[in-house]
Amino acid sequence: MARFWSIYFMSWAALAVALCLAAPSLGWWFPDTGEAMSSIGRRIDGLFYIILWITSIVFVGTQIALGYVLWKGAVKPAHEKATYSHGNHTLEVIWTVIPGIVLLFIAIYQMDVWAAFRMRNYAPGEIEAIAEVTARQFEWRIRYPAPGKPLMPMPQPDDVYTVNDLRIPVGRPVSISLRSGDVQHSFFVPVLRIKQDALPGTVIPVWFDALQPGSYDLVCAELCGWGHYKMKARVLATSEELFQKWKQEAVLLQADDGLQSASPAESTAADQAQTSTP
Amino acid sequence: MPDSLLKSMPFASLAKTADQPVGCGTLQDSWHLAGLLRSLACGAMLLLAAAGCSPNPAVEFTPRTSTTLLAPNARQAVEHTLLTHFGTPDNLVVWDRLNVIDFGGAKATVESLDAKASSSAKAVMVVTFGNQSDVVKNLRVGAPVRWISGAREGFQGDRVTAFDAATRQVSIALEGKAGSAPAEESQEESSSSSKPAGEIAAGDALVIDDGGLLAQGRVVYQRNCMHCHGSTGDGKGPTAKYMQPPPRDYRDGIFKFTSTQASERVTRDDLMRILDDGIPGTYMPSFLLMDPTEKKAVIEYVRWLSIRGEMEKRITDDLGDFSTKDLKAEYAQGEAAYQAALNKGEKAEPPAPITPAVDALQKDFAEFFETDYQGVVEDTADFLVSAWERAETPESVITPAKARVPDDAASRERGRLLYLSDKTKCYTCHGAQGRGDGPANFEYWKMPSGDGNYPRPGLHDLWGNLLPARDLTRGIYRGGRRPVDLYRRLYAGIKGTPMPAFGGVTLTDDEIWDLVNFVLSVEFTANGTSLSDAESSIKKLPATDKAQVQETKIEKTSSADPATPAS
Ligand SMILES: [Cu+2]
Repeated sequence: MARFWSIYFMSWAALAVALCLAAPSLGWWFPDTGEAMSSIGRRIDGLFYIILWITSIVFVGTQIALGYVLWKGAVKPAHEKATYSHGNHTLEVIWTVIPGIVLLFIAIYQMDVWAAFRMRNYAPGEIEAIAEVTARQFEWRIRYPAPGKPLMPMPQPDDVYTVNDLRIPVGRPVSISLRSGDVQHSFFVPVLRIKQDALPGTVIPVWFDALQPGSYDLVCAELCGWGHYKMKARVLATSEELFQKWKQEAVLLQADDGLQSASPAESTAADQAQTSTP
Repeated sequence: MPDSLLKSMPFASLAKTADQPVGCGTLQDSWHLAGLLRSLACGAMLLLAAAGCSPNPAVEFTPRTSTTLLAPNARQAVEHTLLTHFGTPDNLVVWDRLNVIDFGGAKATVESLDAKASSSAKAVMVVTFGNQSDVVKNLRVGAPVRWISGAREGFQGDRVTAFDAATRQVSIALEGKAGSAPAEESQEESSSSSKPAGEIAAGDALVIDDGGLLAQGRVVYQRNCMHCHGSTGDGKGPTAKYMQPPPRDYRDGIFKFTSTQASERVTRDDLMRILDDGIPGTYMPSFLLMDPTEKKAVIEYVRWLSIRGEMEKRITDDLGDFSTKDLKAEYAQGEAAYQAALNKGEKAEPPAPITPAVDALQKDFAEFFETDYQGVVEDTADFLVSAWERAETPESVITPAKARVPDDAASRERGRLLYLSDKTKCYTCHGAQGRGDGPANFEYWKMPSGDGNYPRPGLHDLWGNLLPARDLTRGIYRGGRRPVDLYRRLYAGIKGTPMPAFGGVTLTDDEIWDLVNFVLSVEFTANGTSLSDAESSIKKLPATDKAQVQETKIEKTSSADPATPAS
């Protein structure tokens, strides 16, 4: 009975570790396959796992030490007096310097990931802006330039529009101009590990790539009103060729005068082919 | 969550879905939260609900104001009619007369009855389905069965207990009681219902999962639409008061953005388009990623709600003679005058009570009920069925007779002059510069009910809401921005609004296309951005408020300088 508390406290730590180990198989992990689908996402995941390993090792180590102390101390005779010490300089230097080094490593390492994807490799001006995404209560309205034209800051007569359906070509960095039509929203594509707040009155360039074709959830990550949960959209990543083909079709559909026989059946077939790829 | 409920619960007792907290407590399923986390979150939500959210309004069909103003027995008759033919949100009724609604379910015929396995409580049989293969695939245990012919016709409450898609063998629990509707027949049947399985014979027709699609639509509607559009479809859900423009009231059978002729109802395709694209400039969001079956189901439910609402409206309007509206208004006036007189210390007589007059109305209605009421119901049903049937025919959909006039400067200029002409009078509402600030927005208008003017100046829609003319410079097209969408708006007007129909009479096809080309260009010319189209030569609109351009003047201008250089 004397060791009840040591067992009690240790069992919580053990449960935490067990749950962490079981988490991926219970679906308490990253969405879909668990793998990021953008190159920055993979680096971010790498960072995440490094930090997870470091904290896991520290957590398990300190818990074992704590358990050991509790276990040992619990059976010490009650009349035995505690000893007081002023401290141990060497020990204190060790447990200050080691975490310091670890923190410094994380700080520098993550800075490099950030710099590589946000500054060094690509800068906003160098990446083709493929669409303007306007978040509004409660949907995503998307404007693309006409095929072969650059995206202009103001709407153009030949722009192409979609709602809740952002199409991007796969395998190359693309940029979107993010705006808000009303309040603050947040452009969040979990599988691509992209999250950027949309601020009223500001146009924010957001750039990313998709490594594989597929349909990725796009949600709003900033509580923006009663219909916040309705801002469910998708990012549909397709091959460059299919992307251009889709755009041509969209131009035709949008120019529909009720007489021309635009064939929506064809484009839905293309959609299915793209979405079925994992 | 509601999906699984739908699958596991029988149609008639879906009452519990309605009790689900829709406003505060429902979690979205997009993230794979496990049960533990979910229950924790639910607990937190419940705490929040207890602390902050107001209770959810009851899910029920509420009567129109005009119905509540009928004499009590007339109101009762109307409400009874609606209850018998439409039921309640918790207990939907499949009314055969409404063949314009796809209620769902699979029609089947008994091929052979397995006499050995059957008993008085259970019937096992092999059935042949019609060609509704996907219904068969999704057939669920607990689905209600309705007999169309044979000995059990009129029985209600039989359910599927087992189903084998490969052998088409169905087990049906014979819990049903004879329905109350056909009174004489059912009494006979209920007396002989002790040995029902034996009475089922090969060739009996039945509907399995009757009303399944409507029930699914109801669940989708309650989850996504009801908080704005209301459980009756009256546009008065709990979140509606935060919205400008207010959500649509379906109960008049009128939808604004349709592809149909001015007098026709909305089509399923139109509703699907609204679901997919949303309505820009309003709070109606896009439901593009909703499951296609759910979209289909909710569209059917909205059409059904709309028919229910219009049925109530039309019957109540027909019973206008039995309305106590005027009596009550008169009494209120008398009462106010009496109180005013008392306050001044004058001697006055209180107004006579209206009870005798209402009693007289009731007596009249009792007579009317015996002779004419059923006829009114039948006629209304006939009218609605034919109207909604007609909407789905190709003839009711507006297809331009001519292809779009090429969108060039000359066409836009012709459109501009039409816009400013007295033939269309577009500028009176939309303003000379298309900013939606025409003089009509500042005038007092008569109410269609004949009760004098609206209290506020400005244009109003059919539902009595203030409706400013659209600002065309903003480039937001609520009914869609395809040329054909604008063509249809101009051809048939916008239903329930002052936007008139120009098609067929006022404007020719070419003229409508010129106007479409002009309207589509207003966004770009008004904002000062030059058209990327190099040959664009659209002139700035005249800056005067009162653009008095006469028809004669149009011809003069257009012939005199066909191509004015860009300003
Ligand atoms: Cu949002």
